[in-house]
Amino acid sequence: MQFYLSVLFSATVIVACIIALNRYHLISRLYRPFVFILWLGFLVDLTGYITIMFGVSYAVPGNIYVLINLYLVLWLFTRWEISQSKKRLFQIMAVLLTLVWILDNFILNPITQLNVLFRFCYSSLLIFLSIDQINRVIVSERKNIWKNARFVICAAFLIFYTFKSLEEIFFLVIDPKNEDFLSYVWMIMMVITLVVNSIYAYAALCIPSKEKFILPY
Amino acid sequence: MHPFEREIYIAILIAAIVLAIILFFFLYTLVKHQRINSKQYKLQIQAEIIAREEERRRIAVDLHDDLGPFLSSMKLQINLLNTEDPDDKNLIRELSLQINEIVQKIRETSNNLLPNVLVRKGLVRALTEFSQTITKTGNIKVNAEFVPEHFELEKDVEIHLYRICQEALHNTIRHAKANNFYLKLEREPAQLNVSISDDGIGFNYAKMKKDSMGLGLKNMLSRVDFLNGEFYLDTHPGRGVVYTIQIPLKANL
Ligand SMILES: Nc1ncnc2c1ncn2[C@@H]1O[C@H](COP(=O)(O)OP(=O)(O)OP(=O)(O)O)[C@@H](O)[C@H]1O
Ligand SMILES: [Mg+2]
Repeated sequence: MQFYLSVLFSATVIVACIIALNRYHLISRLYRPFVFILWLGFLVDLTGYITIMFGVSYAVPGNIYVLINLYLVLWLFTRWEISQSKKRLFQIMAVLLTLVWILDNFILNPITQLNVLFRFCYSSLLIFLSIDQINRVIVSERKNIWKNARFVICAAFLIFYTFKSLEEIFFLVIDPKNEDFLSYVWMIMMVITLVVNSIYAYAALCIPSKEKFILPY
Repeated sequence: MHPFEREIYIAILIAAIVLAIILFFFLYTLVKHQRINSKQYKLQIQAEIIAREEERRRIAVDLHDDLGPFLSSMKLQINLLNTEDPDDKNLIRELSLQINEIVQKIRETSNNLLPNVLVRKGLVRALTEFSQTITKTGNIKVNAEFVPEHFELEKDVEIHLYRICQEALHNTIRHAKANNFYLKLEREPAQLNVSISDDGIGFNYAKMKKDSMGLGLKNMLSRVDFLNGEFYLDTHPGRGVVYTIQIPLKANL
């Protein structure tokens, strides 16, 4: 039952995927990576559920997915960034986190299990980058901030990755036998997924066809 | 304690720490971006003010240096006309009077745009002269006081202070129905205190802000900002207006 519900909730991202794909040629190229992020998420979820149905472990595609997703998100942030030094910083982060990924999946742990170290670093990084972006928009936006695609996308990232890291903490610390509590955590995570997927769909509608010019800093 | 309970507490504790870190980071970056943004906003305003002053200076100089001599030479040429016809002679006299008037007008306009005394003799003289001119019109008495009696500041500080006083006085003349206008500039080693007041009808600041904020007060404020100063405005209906302005100066008496 839980399994099918979780399939259903995760699958709601398809709405955002379709809207984004539909507008792909309309939207500013600064936002194109976001479309890939949505589709990658959807496709990986799909393969994940299929592999589970066939009784195969989801670990390997899952571990590879988080790495590629990191690259895509950094790519998105790099496109938004104007300053060259910040762009360079994102590249350095990509390299550093790739090293962490190799360490986590080949040296410390086998890739055939869901590994936590990289996920922890990656969630924290995305949380901090989103917060930085959100605050930048808050102080510079002079019009309706709820229609600012950057703000909406980063808010969705912030909510999702915050809860994702909390979920991971709970699953790490709490004894798996405490099923009651963990199923609450799981339920909250499902609701969050639904909320975030709706925000993604809304964000896909907000993405402008041309990026506004603001004074760079 | 039930073993599960202990784990849950630990988990919640860690979660709370994580959330606290996120919140802290949120506030930290918010403040950081606010700083950068306001600095940029200030630069923008400064660019505007500088552009406006430059524009005025250019127009004033053009008017004064190009049109003035041009008209003077025109007047000379007209006077050179040689005619016996009394009608024509009359016309010539009339024209040269008109040209005189135009020259005078141009000088006034140019002086309004960029007061000559301000450039040549500094702020104190310029304000003194300005006060006398206004007092002479008879509608309002301008009382100007300077401590010490004479001092000079950097040229671009002077021009902004002059504009601030000018706008304050214009507002008093236009809106206040006042009999007296007081202006006091106090030069201290590291700071200039300007107090400006009138005994007019005053106004309700909150209401004015809602109804129609003119450009005048805004410009005064942005000039004070430009000079890194503080601007205080104290007014109530029926009790006149008091401006207090403090401008930091580079300490060099
Ligand atoms: N000294 C004063 N006494 C009474 N009311 C004043 C005085 N100075 C300003 N006000 C009020 O404050 C309002 C705003 O002044 P401000 O100088 O900003 O605009 P303005 O004089 O109306 O237009 P502008 O200066 O742009 O030509 C004025 O309309 C007036 O009602
Ligand atoms: Mg005014």
